[in-house]
Amino acid sequence: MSQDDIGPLLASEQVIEPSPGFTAAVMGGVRREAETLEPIAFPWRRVLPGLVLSAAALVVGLGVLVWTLVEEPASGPAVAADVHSLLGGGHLPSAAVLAGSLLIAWLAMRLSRASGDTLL
Amino acid sequence: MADDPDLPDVRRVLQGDVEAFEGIVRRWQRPLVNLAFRLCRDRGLAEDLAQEAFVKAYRGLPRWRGEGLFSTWLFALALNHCRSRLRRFRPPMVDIEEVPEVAVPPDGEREFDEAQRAGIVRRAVADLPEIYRDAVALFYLQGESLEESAGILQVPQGTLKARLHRARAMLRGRLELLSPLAGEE
Repeated sequence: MSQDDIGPLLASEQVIEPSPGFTAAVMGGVRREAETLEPIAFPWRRVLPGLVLSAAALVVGLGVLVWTLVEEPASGPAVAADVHSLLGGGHLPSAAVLAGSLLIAWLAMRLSRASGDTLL
Repeated sequence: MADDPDLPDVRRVLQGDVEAFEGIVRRWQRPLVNLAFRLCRDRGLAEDLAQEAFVKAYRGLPRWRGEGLFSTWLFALALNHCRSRLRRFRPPMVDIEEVPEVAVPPDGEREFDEAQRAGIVRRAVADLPEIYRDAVALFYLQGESLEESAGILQVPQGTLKARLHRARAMLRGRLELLSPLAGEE
């Protein structure tokens, strides 16, 4: 059998007819599909900035806390005392970082809420 | 594409008229069922695959960008659907030794030979690697033009020609091994 013989053999394929209820079955599936509500995808694109900002705020906050404890171990574990010593003890850069982290955390919360409102 | 016969129905469906999809189904049900049949050789499964492909097309219609004919997109979608379904579900293969011999009337011997040869070729096509099987199914079995087949497969026409040539060579090799009947000339 040569390659040229295969073409006509392949081309002589029988044609089958769809069964009588085929169109109705397809349209039934299509109507069901149309009635099904689209599942709401989780809005990662909107939430991601908020998550990143939250993570950044957490890292900065923890960094400031650790730095404060390392630099001034005598000031004790109370956060209020640390803040007081930071503000009163001439540690302006640390206070600025802490304020910045709080600002970032607040912004993250605002962004998350705004995303939620938009979705609803 | 303005001269696409499916475009009015597609537009109506996109505007929310679900029933307009029936026009598309009626126009393409036979080609799609036959395409699926040529890939799986099972009539019931072919109808299931075609039905699923239509529903998938309905679902994906908003993503159709209108580049080329709608039917090319529909066929490509159906072909991909059949491929993925058939990868998961392959019909059980029957050992050639287990197939009972059929009594042939003496006067119908030539017709029987032709039918048997064609049957062997089709089974051999179904066993080809996917890219060759799809090319043969579209171009030879489905009777699509070279341009249309290449469009559906999303390959250049030269690539499709090379695949068809390679597929014919593979088929010839397999048939000569498989069947003295198909190999004799």
